Amino acid sequence: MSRTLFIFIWLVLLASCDKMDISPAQADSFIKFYNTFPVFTGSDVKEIPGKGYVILGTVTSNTEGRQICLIRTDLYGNSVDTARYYGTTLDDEAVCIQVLSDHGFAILGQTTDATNKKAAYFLRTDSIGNIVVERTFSGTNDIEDIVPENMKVDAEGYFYIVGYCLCK
Amino acid sequence: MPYSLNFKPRYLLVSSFMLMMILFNPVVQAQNECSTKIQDAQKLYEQGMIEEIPKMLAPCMQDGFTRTQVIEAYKLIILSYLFDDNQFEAEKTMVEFLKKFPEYEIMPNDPVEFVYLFESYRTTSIFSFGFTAGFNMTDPRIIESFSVYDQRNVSLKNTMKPGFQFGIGVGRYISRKMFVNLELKFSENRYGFKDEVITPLPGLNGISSVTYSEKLYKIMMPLSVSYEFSAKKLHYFLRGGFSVASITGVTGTASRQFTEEIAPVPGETNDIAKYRKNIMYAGIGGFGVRYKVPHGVLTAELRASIGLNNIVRPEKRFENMQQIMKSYYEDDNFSINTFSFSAGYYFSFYKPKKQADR
Repeated sequence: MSRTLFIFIWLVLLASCDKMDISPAQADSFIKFYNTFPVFTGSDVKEIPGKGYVILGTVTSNTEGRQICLIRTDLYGNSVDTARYYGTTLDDEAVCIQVLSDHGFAILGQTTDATNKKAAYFLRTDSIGNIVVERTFSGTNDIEDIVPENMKVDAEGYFYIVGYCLCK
Repeated sequence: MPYSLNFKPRYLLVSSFMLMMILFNPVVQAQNECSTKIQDAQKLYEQGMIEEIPKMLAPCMQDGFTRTQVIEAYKLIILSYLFDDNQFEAEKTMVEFLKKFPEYEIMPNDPVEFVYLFESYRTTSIFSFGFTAGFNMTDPRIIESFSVYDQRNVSLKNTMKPGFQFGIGVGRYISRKMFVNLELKFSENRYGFKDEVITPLPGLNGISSVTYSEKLYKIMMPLSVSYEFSAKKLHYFLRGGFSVASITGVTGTASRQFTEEIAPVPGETNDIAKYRKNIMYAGIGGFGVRYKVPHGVLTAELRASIGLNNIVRPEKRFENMQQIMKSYYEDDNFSINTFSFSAGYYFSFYKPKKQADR
């Protein structure tokens, strides 16, 4: 009698176990929200073939103005590590991202200097988001602001940044 | 001088009592006479003068004995016939006894001859019909987790909540120790989910969470087989079976909390039946007790109902955009396990019959 009851209780407990596995079908469609800063404005998303996705956006912080934010996810949209933030201490804004052949990233953004002049901000990172190259393209002479809009990478690894500038 | 009908209540009471005494006196007198007859019959039985016992007790069988005395009288008559080698009359009296007291349980001090004859008859009910009601706790069992939060970091919790159920059922013994039950029940099941994720921000670090509560109404039809084993006057049973349920309504309420310091944003209660499947299957197991009372049995049972199928419609998961966008809650694939306590009463219908194998 007690053995029967024990088996019964054991079966009930077994049947109560939750299964937290994620099936491959979840890679087909998902909706995700990423808890970073209270305000996150998405700019671009690219697929890393066979690995997941990379999301680029601009976050608004209370202490360091607006910053460029990079989130890497797996095939199911789950973050593979903590978000990375780029930019100066003043306002920066994300524009677009390209996934490179070595799985590194080329990030195009816009930055603002102390005199409130806008400049193109370019980053080349490795596959996990560490900065390898960082460049700022600001206007000279009578060019007030440079507003970047898009970026392409050719087969030989050259980067082409296009945008427009505002003159005095 | 005109007469007045000015009865005092005290006189009215006394006269009513006297009237009742006059009316019921023969019955009381008969009971007094009959109560000694049981003792006299017992003495005759002990002395071996068994031929006189049936005739001696016969006049009191209709209304002279109390219920306990009638039972004792039947036992004495049956035993007398048995010792007189009058098997025909003994069996006839046993059938009469079982028709009158179908719920009778063998007592430890019953003579073995009586027990043997008693057990040669089908004493279980041929059919029973009754109702049960009780309360339940429902544990949602996640089959596959889904979340709009990062699933590597989210903490998923389930909450059991109380509900109720009531219904009717029919039962039939398929052997001396086993009976089948078919029930029709309505139940309310309540349960909840909580997705928690840590917000990794300087100065704002805290737990961001969404709490989702659901109420599910269903009509279920459990079919089960029970094995009964007796201990004194109680009949314990173990039940196993299967249940099909039609989900008749589901409502859900989601509320979101940005951090622990900020009060949750309560969500609206929405009808979400279209995001749930219509049919739910479950395996059932239970343990209970039955107690025979006149014309039926009282029953109490603890039952576990293990949901077998996912009740969420996967193709509709992303259609509830209002809930996802406002509350950050996305349905997991889940089934529900219910642990219930029910008590009730079953009317029993008996048809005593000599069993072929005895």
